[in-house]
Amino acid sequence: MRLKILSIATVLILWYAAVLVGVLALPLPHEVAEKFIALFFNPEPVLGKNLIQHSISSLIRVISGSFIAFFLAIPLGILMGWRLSVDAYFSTMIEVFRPIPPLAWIPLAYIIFAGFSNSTQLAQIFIVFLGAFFPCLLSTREFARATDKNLIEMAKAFRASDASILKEVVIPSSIPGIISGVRIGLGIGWMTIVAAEMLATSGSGLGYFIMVMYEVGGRVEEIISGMAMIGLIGYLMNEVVILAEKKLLRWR
Amino acid sequence: MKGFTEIMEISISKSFNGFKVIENISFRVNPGEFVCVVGKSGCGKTTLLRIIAGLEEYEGEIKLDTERIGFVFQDDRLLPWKTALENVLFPIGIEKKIEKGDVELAKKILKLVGLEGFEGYYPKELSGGMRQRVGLARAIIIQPDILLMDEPFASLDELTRQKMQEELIQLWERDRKTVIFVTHSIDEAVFLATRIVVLTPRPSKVAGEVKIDLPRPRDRTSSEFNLYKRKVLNLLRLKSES
Ligand SMILES: Nc1ncnc2c1ncn2[C@@H]1O[C@H](COP(=O)(O)OP(=O)(O)OP(=O)(O)O)[C@@H](O)[C@H]1O
Ligand SMILES: [Mg+2]
Repeated sequence: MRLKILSIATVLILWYAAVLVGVLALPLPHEVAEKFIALFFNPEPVLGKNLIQHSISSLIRVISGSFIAFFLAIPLGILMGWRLSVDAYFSTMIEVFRPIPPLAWIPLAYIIFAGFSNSTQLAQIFIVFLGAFFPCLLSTREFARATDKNLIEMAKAFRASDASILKEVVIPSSIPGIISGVRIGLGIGWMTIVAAEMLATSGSGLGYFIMVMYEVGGRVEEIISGMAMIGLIGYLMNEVVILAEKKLLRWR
Repeated sequence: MKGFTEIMEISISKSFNGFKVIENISFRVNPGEFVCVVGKSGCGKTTLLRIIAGLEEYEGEIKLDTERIGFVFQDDRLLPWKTALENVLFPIGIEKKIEKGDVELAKKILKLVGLEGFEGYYPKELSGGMRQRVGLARAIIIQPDILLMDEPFASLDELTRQKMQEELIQLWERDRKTVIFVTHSIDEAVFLATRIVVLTPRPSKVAGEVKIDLPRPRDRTSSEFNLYKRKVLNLLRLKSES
């Protein structure tokens, strides 16, 4: 805890120092903090929404996109890790798409979903999906594949069916991989949504907020407040998953 | 039906990628016997048990009168995410829904192997000896007709090991399960067995069998005990030098 405080204090001190010495043309931390607190509850006039509202918009997109990703990536990862034939079938198509950064999909995604009524929203969810899917898939697959062969043999000695082996041995072995996949997936999903929001008229969302604040005339305090909110939420999401991990992996 | 004839008759050989490990192992096991199989490291003892348990291909023939086989492994092979109690219930849970009666039975068996009070412990919280007891409890909860044990006490210290041997014999005397127990300790084999099957080094054959006619509890320091040890040792030596 002490080191956590020290860590944050260091950032703030460097910030103050850089501004006061004149190498950084930014407002001071406490000025931004004031703005941040004001914007937290009170709507900012240009878009008419406060930071909480923007955060909720972004979070809804991230959670929809990444949960769809996890819903597909976790079972697929387990099956790929368990059966080499499943892996052989899927891995080529996955390796073709995986190197394309989610952000490179943004233009195409807006085109693909142009026909839908809520096209912007759908395209953004799709991009989050791409960002969250691959890390979760790979991490799950790696742990499923690393299932202790001796434990599988033990189950077979007790005449376990394939379904039981999957349920009792392979899936529990994969859980640490699933959790870290979810953690990384959410993290990347959060980064991609902010970027995706900057590239279209989203109406709300932290990325959109930052972009508009820039476009209406470089409102630095608002921009940094938006960034701080992004950082704060990213940090909290990570902490929540770590907490869940501690609960779920008590046996470790 | 068992009771009058042997529960198992085996005559097998085994190669791994053309490399002969078991030349020909054949022996019979009668119901209620405690057969120890001894042989040098690498002679195929684990392979033999895996074949009997149906986990490995082989050439030859196995006549086995039952499907209910319990297996106790050299390494405990407990599921690390399950508590002691849940591990014991594992073989039941893969067959049907676990009921209250099953939990009661598992608790009873854990008590029987001296683990009362440790039901909720995870494997990492148990000592090596305790983990082996959980492994034994897991194997006997299915009430196997034949219990296969692969050097289950090899990794334990001498005192714990002797204690486990004594407890195992008490259990065996209670319900006279058929046991095939693999070990490379001659002392352990003479202490436990009603009959010892001695294997030659790889490619292994049966070097000979020794029936142990000693009253229980057996005294490891008695001269008869040591005579039997000498006999087994001679069989092992004879074949490794030729
Ligand atoms: N899956 C396998 N593939 C190839 N060779 C194997 C395999 N399993 C066992 N062997 C070989 O078969 C031989 C016998 O192995 P096994 O594990 O049965 O010996 P063991 O008598 O149990 O030895 P120990 O007393 O050290 O446990 C060894 O030479 C081993 O290398
Ligand atoms: Mg072995």
